[in-house]
Parts: sequence; structure tokens; C-alpha cells
Amino acid sequence: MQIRTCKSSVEIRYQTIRGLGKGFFALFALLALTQGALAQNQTVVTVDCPPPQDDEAGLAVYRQNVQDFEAANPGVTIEPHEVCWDPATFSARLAGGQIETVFLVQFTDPNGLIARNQAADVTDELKSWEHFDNFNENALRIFQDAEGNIYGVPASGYALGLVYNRTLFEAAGLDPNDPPRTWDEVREYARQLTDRSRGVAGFAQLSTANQGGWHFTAYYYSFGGGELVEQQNGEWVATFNDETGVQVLQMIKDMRWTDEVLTDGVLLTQDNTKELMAAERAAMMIIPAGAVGEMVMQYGVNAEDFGAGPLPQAGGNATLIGGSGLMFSPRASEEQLQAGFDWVAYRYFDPEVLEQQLQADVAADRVVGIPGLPILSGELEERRVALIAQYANVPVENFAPYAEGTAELTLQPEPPIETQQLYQILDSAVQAVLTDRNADPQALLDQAAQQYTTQVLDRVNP
Amino acid sequence: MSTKTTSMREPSTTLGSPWWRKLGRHLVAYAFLLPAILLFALFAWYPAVYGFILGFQRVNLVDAPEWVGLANFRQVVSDPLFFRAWRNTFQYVGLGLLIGFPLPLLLAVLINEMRHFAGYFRLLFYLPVMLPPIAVIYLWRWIYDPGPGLANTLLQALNLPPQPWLQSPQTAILSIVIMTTWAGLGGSMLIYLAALQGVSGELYEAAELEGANPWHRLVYITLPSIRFVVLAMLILQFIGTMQVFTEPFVLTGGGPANATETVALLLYRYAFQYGNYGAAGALGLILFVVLVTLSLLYFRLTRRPD
Repeated sequence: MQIRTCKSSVEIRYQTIRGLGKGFFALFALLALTQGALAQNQTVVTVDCPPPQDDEAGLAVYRQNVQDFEAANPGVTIEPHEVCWDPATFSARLAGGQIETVFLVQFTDPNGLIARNQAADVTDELKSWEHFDNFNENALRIFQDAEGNIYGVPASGYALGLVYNRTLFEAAGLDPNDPPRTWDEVREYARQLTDRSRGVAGFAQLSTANQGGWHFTAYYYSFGGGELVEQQNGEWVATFNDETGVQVLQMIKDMRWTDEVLTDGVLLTQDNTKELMAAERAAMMIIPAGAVGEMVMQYGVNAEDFGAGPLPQAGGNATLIGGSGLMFSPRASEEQLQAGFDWVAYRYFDPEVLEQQLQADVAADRVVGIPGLPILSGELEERRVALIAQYANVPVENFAPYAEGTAELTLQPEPPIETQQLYQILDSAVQAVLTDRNADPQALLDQAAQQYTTQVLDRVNP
Repeated sequence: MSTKTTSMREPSTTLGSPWWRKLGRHLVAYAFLLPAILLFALFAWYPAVYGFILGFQRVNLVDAPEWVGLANFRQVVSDPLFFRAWRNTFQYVGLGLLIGFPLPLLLAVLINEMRHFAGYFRLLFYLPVMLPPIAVIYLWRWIYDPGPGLANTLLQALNLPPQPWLQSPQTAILSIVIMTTWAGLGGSMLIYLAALQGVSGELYEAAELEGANPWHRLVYITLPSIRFVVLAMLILQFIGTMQVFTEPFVLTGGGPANATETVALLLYRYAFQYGNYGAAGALGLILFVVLVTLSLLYFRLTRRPD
């Protein structure tokens, strides 16, 4: 009997698949090897937080910047990741080795990261930059430790001020070009602006998501309290539970229960107050002037309907600054750190990049021209100011009180030890005076000081 | 003619066999169990044990962890929020047991008595369970809005004074309990309904013959018959509400003025807001010990003499 050796169709299919598989495997191996060979000569710098997908113009500029930078620096590849730094996931991602080489943070975050050794030291990279001496000292200090080592680069800043609705001002018979400059004036204006029958509150106060503490700090500065946390005899001590602190809480309490000029809901974040302002349910709020731009983009309000003044004062002549900056992964190599810094300097400080960004903003109908906080001085800053003036598309005079008034104030940075935790602790004190008519400001602040001392300062002090 | 039997055949029981023979006998069964055991080990037991170990270390996830003994526990206990969080949690558990525990049982008993429309009511009460938790939370945030929210609007329509709901430390926890009761009672109600179906009708008939009224039937027949289900639900609710996190986190952020700061929320804060994993691990271990102790106590108290 002849043994047939022809293959069945199943066998043929199986062999074809195996053959294709081997072919693909070989191809992939080849590609991987060549990639590996190429990659060995490349420094890969991963960055986070590119412009969001719906910001086509901004994204186009970003991609152009990446291309231009890679062309000018042949050994470097910039790889954007579409995530933004988030304290809740940061530690886990760091442990998993997934943190980007360069990541964007707020001014409140560096001191915690530095204390926990979770950011790279980039002192050398910064000091070798040609414009290093032009850095705003206040902004740079936020990224430094006690010995002066630098762990990041400030990129943009703001100062807190008073944003108000000009239309509501006019309706109440107030001059929209003359915002209140002192806290007493704020209370007076708020009383005139509050109209419960139309659902308008004169003033919206933040109190949640660490923003109540943020406000408390700003008000404390404006009352002349000085620092909230000071070094005394080599030890850090909480000083915000003094008379000034009590005055601040008492004022918030009076605005709520005596003047009755605050909104009905008092557990508010910036997003809530912007929403209230956009819906004309609140007339004034303390926020960086740039919030007007955000309201235009998010809620479609007219920038002309809003104005901004400096932070109201009560003898302190100071305001709180904030902003964002870039920090670097503690696991990055020297080459990556240098390349990462070069990218930051290019993307955030190069005047040509700024011009492209401004053109994209104008094309996308975004607000340009609201004053912020200068991070640099000197030639780069002059060009930046000129470019913004050139492309501004808001009535800049509405924001003139903010710009001029803030320039006369002392710009104080946020408290230096575990800022977010301090704000969270102070949140409770602010919430207490807003929700309990019989709250005792001194007792609340003493409790907050005790909590901050046991939870934070005791671990920091020797 | 007898066929060959025992000598070649394997024993039908493994009693008295060595362990490796037992393993061999049941190899297929263990193979089926293996994936589930691995998943559990990797995603439930390993993180739990690692969390307990973290309680004794100081970590920053960059450098090697440092053993610090009981320092984290001391820090956690000395936090003024520690006792506040436990007090809030027990308050929440207590209100939950007072309001949220009898209500599904009552509804189940009532629905069980219905002849018509039982299915309609079952669906009605179960609808909230089908909503995603975040949707429920945002819905109730609007309901509790002190200005235009539904709750105060209804109160004013009935000429009652508006309440601050989530805006006041006194009413915040109660507001959250009302919300979670509304969201969860459908599920418990269905479980009780199922248990009630299993109560023998003969018992009721016998009781009626003896002249028992509806109240007697409820207390002497219905409740004792579903005793085990009720007790099981009680301990489950207790353990679940002790770990409440989502509602305070999204609704109030622990406020106002720490009135809704619970133990689980505090734990989250330590880990993910302050980056203090050691303190979070310590607090987690404390919570675990408390829950185990209370559970053992509960089982001891509810143990039947037989």
C-alpha cells in the first residue's frame, strides 16, 4: 500500500503561518537591533503635559517646537507623554520607573519633592545657562533647598489679585475702573453688590481642595503677618496662629455671618468660583488675573465684562505668588538632565517660540494680554513684554489696576515647608468659620498650628 | 468467573495516603484553582501584606526603604485628626446602621406582603443601585445645594426651614448617610426578599390558626427565620461602612472643617496627598486590627449555643 505524503489543507495553512511567523520574527529582530543601535546614540528625554488634543493650534506649535529642537540638537529625542503630573499618582509612577524626565509642577509642590529626594539636582545645568542671572529670585527660591541647590526651573508665574465683574459693578452704581484696594473697601463694595433677589453674592470665597488655606496665606500676607512658618533658633515654628491670623479668620467669618455677602454654598474651589462668576452669581473673587482667560475659554464669557485689581490690602502691602515650573526625574542620567534643561529653556523662554505660541493663541480666539508674573528680567523679558503687547486681544486697560497695583506690592512666595499639607490643614479652619457661626478663630488656628507641628515640622526639625 | 479487581485499581478515597499522593489525585482540581489563587495572591494578599510592612518603614520610592519601628504609628496617633477621623467613622457607621440597615428589611417585608405591583416596587427601589456611584454623588451634590438644590426647594415648598446639608459640620454626615442609603437599599432589599421567599408558608398558616396578628407573625416567625441573613448583612454593612471613602472624598473632601474626615480618607491623604506611605501603612494596619477585633467579637456574641 502506498503511503500518501501529500499535505492536507490544514497542514499547508499551518506551515504557511509558521513560515510567516518566522519571517515576521526575523524582521522584528532586525528592526529591534537597528533601533537599539540607533537608540544607543540618542538621549531620549520624555516630557509630560503637552497641549491637550482639542488645542489644535497649540499642539501644532508644540510639534513644531519638538521638530526644531531635535533638528538643532541631533543627539536628542523629545518624547511627549500625554499625562500631566499628579501628586496622587506621582509616587507610584516614580516607583515604577515611569516618571518623565521633565515634568510640570505647581509652585506648591517642589518643597515636598525636594524633601523626599524625589527630584533631580540641576544646579549645574542652570548655572551654566547664559541667562541664569536674570531669574526672578523669589521664583527660583521655590525650587531650591536650604543649601541653595536648585531642583527645577520656574516657567510661568502669577500673583493673586481681585477679579470682578464690571457689568455688576456698573449695575450697582460702582466705578468699574476703580476696584476696591483695601479689605474694608471690599466688604463695602460687596454689601452693595449683593442682591439675594437676583441670586447675586458680592464675594465668592474659596475653602476646599487646599484652596482655602491658599487664600488664608494670601490674606495673611496682605494683613502684614509676615511668614506663616519661620525659623526660630534653628527650628521651624508655625507662626500663623497669631493676632494677624485671627484677624484674617475673623474677617472671613464677618463677611459670612455679619455682612452676609458670600455665596450660599461655601465649600468652593477655584473651578466653582469661576463658574459662579461666569454665571453672574458672584461679583468678586480672589484669583490670579489669568482666570479671566480661562473663563473665556471654558464658559464663553466676554473678557470685556471683567476686570482685575491687585490683592486688597490691610496694611501688609504684599501678595502671594504662585506659578508652575519644571522638575526632573531623580532617575535621569546626566545627558538626559542637560538635554531636558535645554528643551525647557527653548520651549519656555525662547522669544521665537513665544511668538509662535501667541500667534496660535490669537488664531484660536484665546485671551492674550492678561499680565502675569515675570520669571526673568533683562533682554528676554523685554522681548516677551513687547510680543505680548503686540498680540494682546483684550482691553488691557481693564487689567491695568492689577498690573500697576501688583507691581507696587511685595511678592511673597508660598510657605516653604510642605505647602500643600499646610493649606489642607488651614482649609479646615476656613471651612469652620464659614459653616459655624460660633467658631472661635483663635482656637481653630491653634489647633491647625498643633496639627502642622506634629505632622510636618516635627519630622523636619532636628 | 470474577474479573480482576482491587489490585490494579486505584483506591477511591485518599484517606491514609501520603500528601503527595493526595495532591496527585486532585491535581486537575488544583490546576483549575491555581489562576484564581495567583490573582488573589498578587492583587489582594501581596498588597495587603506589603501595606502592613510599609507601616514600619519610611519610604520615598526612590531610595531603599528605611526601618523606623513604631515611629509611623506614633505619628499617626499624635495627629489631631486621628481621633476625629475615628469619631466621624463610628458616627457614620452608627447612623448607617440606624437608618440604612432597617429600611431595606422593612421594605422587603412590605413588598413580600404585596400581591400586586410587587415587581414594580422592586424595580423602583433597585433603580438607584444601577446608577454609577459617581453619578449618584454628583446628583446628590446638586440636591444638597443650599440655594437652588432640590432638597431645600422641597423643604421650602412645605414651609420648612432650609437646611445647610453638606455645608454644616452638624448635618454633613447625616446627609451622606441619606445619600448612601438611597443608593444602596435596593441591593440589600433584594437579598432580604430572597431570604423571605424561603420562609415556609406552613408556619404562617399555623400561626394564623393560633390567632396571631401580623405583628406577631413578623416578630415570631419572619424575623427569626431570616436571622442568619440579617446578621450576615449586619456584619457586612459594618465592615463596609467602616471603610467609607468615596462619598466624603468626592462630596466634601473631608470637610466642612473635618466633619466628614473618615479613617479611609485620612489614609488616602497620607499616601497620595502627602506622599507619606509609612503613615498610611500604619493607619491601615490599625484599621485592620480594629476591624478584625470587632468582627471576632461580633461572631462570638452571635454564636448560637448549638
